[in-house]
Amino acid sequence: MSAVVQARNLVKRFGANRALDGASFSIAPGRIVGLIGPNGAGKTTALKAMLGLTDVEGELSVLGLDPRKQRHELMQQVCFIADVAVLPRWIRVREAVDFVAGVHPRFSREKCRHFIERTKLKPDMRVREMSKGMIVQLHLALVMAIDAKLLVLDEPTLGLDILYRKEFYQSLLNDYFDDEKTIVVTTHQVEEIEHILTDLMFIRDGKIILDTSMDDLAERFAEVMVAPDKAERARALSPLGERQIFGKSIFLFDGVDKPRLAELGEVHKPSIADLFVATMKGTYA
Amino acid sequence: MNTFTWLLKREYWEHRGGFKWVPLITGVVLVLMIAFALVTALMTANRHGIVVGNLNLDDISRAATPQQLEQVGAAINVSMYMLSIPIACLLGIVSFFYLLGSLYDERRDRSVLFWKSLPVSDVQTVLSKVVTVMFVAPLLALVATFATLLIYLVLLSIVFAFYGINPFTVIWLNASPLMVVVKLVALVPVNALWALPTIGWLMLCSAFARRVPFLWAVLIPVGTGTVLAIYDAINNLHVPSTWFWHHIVGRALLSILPGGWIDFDHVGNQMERSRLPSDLATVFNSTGFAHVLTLPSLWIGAAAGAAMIAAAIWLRRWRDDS
Repeated sequence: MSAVVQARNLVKRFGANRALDGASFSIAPGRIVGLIGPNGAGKTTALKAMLGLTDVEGELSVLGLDPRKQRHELMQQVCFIADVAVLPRWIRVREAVDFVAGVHPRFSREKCRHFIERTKLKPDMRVREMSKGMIVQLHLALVMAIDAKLLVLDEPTLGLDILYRKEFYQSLLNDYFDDEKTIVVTTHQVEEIEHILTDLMFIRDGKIILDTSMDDLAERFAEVMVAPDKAERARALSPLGERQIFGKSIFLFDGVDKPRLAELGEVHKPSIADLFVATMKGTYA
Repeated sequence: MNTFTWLLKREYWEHRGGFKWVPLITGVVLVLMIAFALVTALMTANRHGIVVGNLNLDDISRAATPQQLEQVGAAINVSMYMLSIPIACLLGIVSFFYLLGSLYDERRDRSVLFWKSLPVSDVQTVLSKVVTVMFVAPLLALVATFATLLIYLVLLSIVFAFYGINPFTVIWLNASPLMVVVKLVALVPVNALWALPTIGWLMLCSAFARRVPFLWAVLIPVGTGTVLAIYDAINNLHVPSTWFWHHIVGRALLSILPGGWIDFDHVGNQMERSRLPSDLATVFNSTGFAHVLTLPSLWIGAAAGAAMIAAAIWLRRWRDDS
């Protein structure tokens, strides 16, 4: 199957700064892709470019359409939650559902009602009377009732408590995602989405610096806990990162044979957070 | 229902306060004021008598000629036109602020990101706001106006009945609330065409301003006008700056008021010359739109408004500051 998103050499300038500086990537259908990067690395700009919300230089095609020129057609099949709490404050639950049902050909009122029934939302409630968590529940209910091919989430759980965050990703995974759909998500709470991702992209200074599936990630990267006497040998293998815990050193390696590492100590699969910290070293320096 | 109808509905939901409640409350206030005036009149009537259309109510109650009754009807019709004015003025004010917020509020609270996540084009969205302010809001205001007029006639009927006059033959057969409202409905498209430069300018400012669109919208034309006036005074140029105030500042900011195209000097003169209520009624009836449709300034303004709306659509599509 052809790629859902195909981007080559995307450049976005803000004055002298480049929010995107030659970013290239490709996203296959049926994947859940995490786009991870430090603040100001160009995550949101990349997502906005995919959604046709901002103009960008370079080759870009989403579901075979150019988001810059065919945004209207594109939005029939793409949905997004950009940040939390962007629902208009005056709207009532009933009005929001009616409106989306009215304008979106792929919206299922039945599904939406089902999702809303699981929450404390009432049809007459206004967004301005809701807590942040409830607003996200409403937004998610609206979006999950749309049979979109691509769902883009930009920091969808920012500022929510852990209960809402867990619930958010759980319903997304259980009630929405299937192999016809593709989800792209950015977040700073990497640990929480680690287990649901199928693919991972790191972005830094407007460039994609890592683009891998989670399966390959486990093959390629390894973390080893090394006793002090073997630390020098480990450093010789040019690790990506090193940190100290309980008098032992933990080294992160990229593309070093597992058996060789096993001689040094206990080998683990690194967490995305550790990988992120090691890769992004010196970003703010 | 199609997308555009839903967009109109959306605008109504968001602005129910201005489009529904403001005209209704104004109507209620007007009715209360009329009721108060009538009660006061009834209390003092014992001394002076009530005069409607040059006729004392006591005289009507005895015997009035058909001509005299016609004058009563004309007087009531004129008073109904007058009653529509306060609601129209408030409609103008509500529309002004609606336009200033139309493309700004959604950027300020970032809900534009939600609206843009739906398959609705920027052209449709912006045009739904234009149609709302050109047609939906004025027609809603006229519904309130019509209700106000009917209640007004009912109140008058009660007073007349109090004097032993049959309100049906005197009021309801001679006054024509329906004709007044139909006439006002017919003026809606004329008002809308006339308002286009203001609609375009305010929406453009609303789409463009990073903050306080009101200041942009007002300061640019008023500031330019002031600079021109000063320049004019210093250099004694022959380009009169009053032209600028009249045709640029006025049209960019105030054309939203219904009936702004009426030649008030002309109407005023005619009203002064009127002696009978029926003359006055003719003045109101003849402020027809035939003459305004031939004014170049109407069409030039409308074209300028359309161009500014197109610019606002472009800005909504490409503006990226949320």
